Amino acid sequence: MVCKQATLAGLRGLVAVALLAVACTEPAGPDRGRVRPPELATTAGSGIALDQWNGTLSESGFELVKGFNPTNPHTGDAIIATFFWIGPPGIITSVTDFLASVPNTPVGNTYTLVTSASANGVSMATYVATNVQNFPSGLYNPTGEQILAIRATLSVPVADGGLVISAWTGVDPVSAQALGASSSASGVGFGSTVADPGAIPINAGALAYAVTMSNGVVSFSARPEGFTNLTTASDLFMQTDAEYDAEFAVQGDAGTVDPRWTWNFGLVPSTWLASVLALNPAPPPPGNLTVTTTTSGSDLDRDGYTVTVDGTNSLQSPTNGSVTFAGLAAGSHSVALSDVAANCTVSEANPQMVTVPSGGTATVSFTVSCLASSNVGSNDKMTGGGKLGGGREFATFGFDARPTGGQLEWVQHCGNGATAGSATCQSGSFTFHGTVAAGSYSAVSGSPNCRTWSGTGSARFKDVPSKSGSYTFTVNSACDNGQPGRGTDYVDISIADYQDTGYLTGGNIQLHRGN
Amino acid sequence: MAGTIIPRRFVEWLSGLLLLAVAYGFALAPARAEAQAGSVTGQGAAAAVTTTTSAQQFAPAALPNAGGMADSELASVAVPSTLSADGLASITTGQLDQTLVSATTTAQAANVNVLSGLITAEAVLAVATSYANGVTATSESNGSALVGLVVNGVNYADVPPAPNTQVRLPGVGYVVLNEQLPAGDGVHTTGLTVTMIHVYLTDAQGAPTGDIVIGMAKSGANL
Repeated sequence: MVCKQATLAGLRGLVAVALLAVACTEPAGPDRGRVRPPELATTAGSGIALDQWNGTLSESGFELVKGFNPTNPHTGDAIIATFFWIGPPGIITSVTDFLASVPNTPVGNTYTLVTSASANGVSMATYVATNVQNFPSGLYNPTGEQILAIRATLSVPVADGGLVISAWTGVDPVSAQALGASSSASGVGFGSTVADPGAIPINAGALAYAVTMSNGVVSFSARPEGFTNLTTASDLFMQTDAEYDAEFAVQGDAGTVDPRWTWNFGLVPSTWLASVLALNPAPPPPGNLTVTTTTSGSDLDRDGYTVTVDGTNSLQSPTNGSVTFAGLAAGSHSVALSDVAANCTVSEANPQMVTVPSGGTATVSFTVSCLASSNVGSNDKMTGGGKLGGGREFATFGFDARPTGGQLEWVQHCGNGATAGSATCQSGSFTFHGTVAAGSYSAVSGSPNCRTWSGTGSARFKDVPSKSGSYTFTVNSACDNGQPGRGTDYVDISIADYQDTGYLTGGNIQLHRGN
Repeated sequence: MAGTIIPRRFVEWLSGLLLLAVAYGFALAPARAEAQAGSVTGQGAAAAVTTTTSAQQFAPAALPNAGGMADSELASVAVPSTLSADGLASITTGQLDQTLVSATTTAQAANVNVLSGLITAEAVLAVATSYANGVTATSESNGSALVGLVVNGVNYADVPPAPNTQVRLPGVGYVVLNEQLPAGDGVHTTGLTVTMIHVYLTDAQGAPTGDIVIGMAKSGANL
């Protein structure tokens, strides 16, 4: 056997046609075809399903044409049209569609040559149009009026030819994405001869469409395994010189397909042509993704956040609220929350992975917690020490506070011990050493010379020892109003229920404004 | 108020004695050539006792060269027949900036008893603050306090005595109240050591044998 892939073999002197008509034997032309009852789409286990098909042989002249009588496919379908003829290759000048009316109405879908084969005077070519439009979708009309038909215009007349057309739902509407791999081959043999267009890779859920043609007096001893027969055709004139067989399979998993027929060519060497192509399924209907952000704490991030899906698709999100990404491809996506202020943290993993259901809505939540914002430069800091009060009740202090932390020492002296009614000596003398909480240091709104911060520490009470222990503290405001600090610089501090406020009676506070 | 203001040259003598006696050595502001980048100093001690054979500091604190804060506290101290006090604490803070260097030190003690009641005070607080901005450099002791002070049976008002007030302590030596030792050129450098109670111990011939310090705060700034 001589086998040649996607190339032409030399012409043979005799072209014998034997089209095995499994499904139909059709006269040429949409208005000449045998009337077939409406057919239901055949689903093959995924999104791609056979909608309508038809076929014919015994055509001649400058056109090969056939309609989807009696029932139109549906708009959005992909149409595969394979033309067969006795004659040289490359004679199809155009493939067009039209509505079978008087006169014919051009429809205008684009048919792209996907693969072809020719050898020894027999030829075939397969065209595909995706997302076909502009015809009465699904129309059933036994009269043939307004039925979609496909026509190949030839540059030279042929003595015999035909075509098989099939319409498929669920194919990717974008041609460049729909068209998968394809392969064609031809060969010559006698006796039991394998026709193999070659193996092609195929995606999960894709349609594998395979067709073969022979010029021998033939029958099949085997058809491609795993494929479903679409049609096998011959005609009276070509009965002893050619026939074709079209098969299809919708793949569950990605892999390769390699359809093989075994022709029984007998003792006379005959030529075979074979093609296979893949059409990818339409992506599943998109879904939506709603991202909800909930923010709590102090100094919330007022300008909101940025939510980004898959690293590229971003929307602005409110501080508390939701945003919805519409039309996302079904499947897994990453969702990231960004533009979160430095004083705020996201509780959940960031980014999160979420599966968007086809036709549904997935939800993702981010919980953001904010501390008092560090609305100052990173190198902003305040140090100070000195005295508040006087006489028998005074406090001395020192602190070194900055956005990253620091420390505070506060010593309250009460000459009269614990004194009820005293602003600062109700619990008597104590010393307190505190640690400034990172992130708590910030400017005081409206007071550019002042800073505030907080933290925790331990206190040792002299007059009321039972009060000794750990406490939180807040420097509500410490202000550097110039030098000297006494009488101008200011401190307002709370340590648990203790509070002291006032201008320094000694010492100084120095603010370094950060960038 | 009992006491006298001691002469300047006597203060200088006292300063030299300090350097020998205790680790209060106060490095005055560095020379101008080294001062371009500025420097800050701070040191405090709530109390100290120095004899010819030993030196002790209580609640001392020293400011890091880079500024910031240091502190120390001590609930109480008792050196038999010499010193007892509670609530001892010292805090020193400072910052170097391009246009300002400042430091503040506080040192305090409460319920002070020196030499078995020869000197007592309810509260002692020394505050020393220094500023330098490249044009002027000043120091001050505002905020310093002596509360309930009694020296050799004499009560003092709750206001700091005049700086460097000396009071004789027969058979013991003398005490300088609100001792202030300034330093610096007043332009780029400044420094101040404030010691609220400084007892100088002497032998029968007047030779120094030690000293007792309550509330010593130092600050210095150089820019």
